[in-house]
Amino acid sequence: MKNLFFALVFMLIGTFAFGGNMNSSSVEVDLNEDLVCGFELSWQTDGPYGSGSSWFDCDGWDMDDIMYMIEEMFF
Amino acid sequence: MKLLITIILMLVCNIHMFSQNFKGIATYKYQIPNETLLIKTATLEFNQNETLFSYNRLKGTDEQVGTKMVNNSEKINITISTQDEQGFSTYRDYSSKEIINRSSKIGNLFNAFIYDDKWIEIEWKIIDEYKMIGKYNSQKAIGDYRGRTYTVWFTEEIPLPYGPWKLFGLPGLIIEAKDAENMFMAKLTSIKYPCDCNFMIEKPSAPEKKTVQEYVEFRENINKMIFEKMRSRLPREKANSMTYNEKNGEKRKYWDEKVFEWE
Repeated sequence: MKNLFFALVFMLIGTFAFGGNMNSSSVEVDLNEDLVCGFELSWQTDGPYGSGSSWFDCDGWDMDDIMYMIEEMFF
Repeated sequence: MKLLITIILMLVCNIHMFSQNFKGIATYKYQIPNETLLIKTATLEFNQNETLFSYNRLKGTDEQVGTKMVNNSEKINITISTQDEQGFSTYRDYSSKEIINRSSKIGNLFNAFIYDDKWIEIEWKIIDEYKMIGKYNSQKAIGDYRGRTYTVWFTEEIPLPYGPWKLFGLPGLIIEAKDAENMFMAKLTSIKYPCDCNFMIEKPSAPEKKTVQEYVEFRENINKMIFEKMRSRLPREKANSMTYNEKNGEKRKYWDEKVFEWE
């Protein structure tokens, strides 16, 4: 009886530990989503000059600034 | 005296008529090596000793499009127009062996420029293989030019050594051409020859002139330069968050000319 009780206690502890690890994994996924946060601006010509692209980090860009720059440069 | 004047007048008329009739204009469907499919309508205008191959000309046969932008929540993509009055062109004078190339204006970013090039005779291997292309009996030839191998079909029914882009030097007009990687393609779609055309072939002109070496350097760096120009228009703290996505291993993969004589 005593052995059965200890076995049940260990099983419960194991289940909590495993559940805890699952939660950590989901936090890591959120962190990854944070890391890829940003904005891509790409371009190409309608001639033979290929293409290029650039990346704006999440916390650095401001859409108004970017749109102003694009209007001024390209149109 | 009356007879002499009549003879002179007839001669002048003949010369004028001959020069009018020794003009032609060929239109090609033209695929430029590029990351995405890029097909143009190009024209080859020619007379006795000059040719002008061009595309992306305003008032030309290509659809006229300005710079375009596609914007969604995660990405902006800009297609920069390179159409202008003269477009991209290659001019050849077969009597002086002069070749002048022209690059169009690139949006509002770079001026059009011309650059002289080296007259390179392509060593064609003429193959004993024939096929009908349209109404022309055409013969196959293979040749290398600046890092690409071209298979072309030419016709002696139009006995002119002309061809699309920088391909030339066969005993007849090149009416079809493609490279071994299937990136370059030119196909004749129509021709007026001889034609009573009014056009005059003029050497390309532009606000700037480069050497061919400077052109290669420009081409190697153009996308980085566009990035730098964009960055310079942003406030400093914003500019610092902008980075250029370097492309690895793609150097000259999509260039029409991949190797140059001085390299």
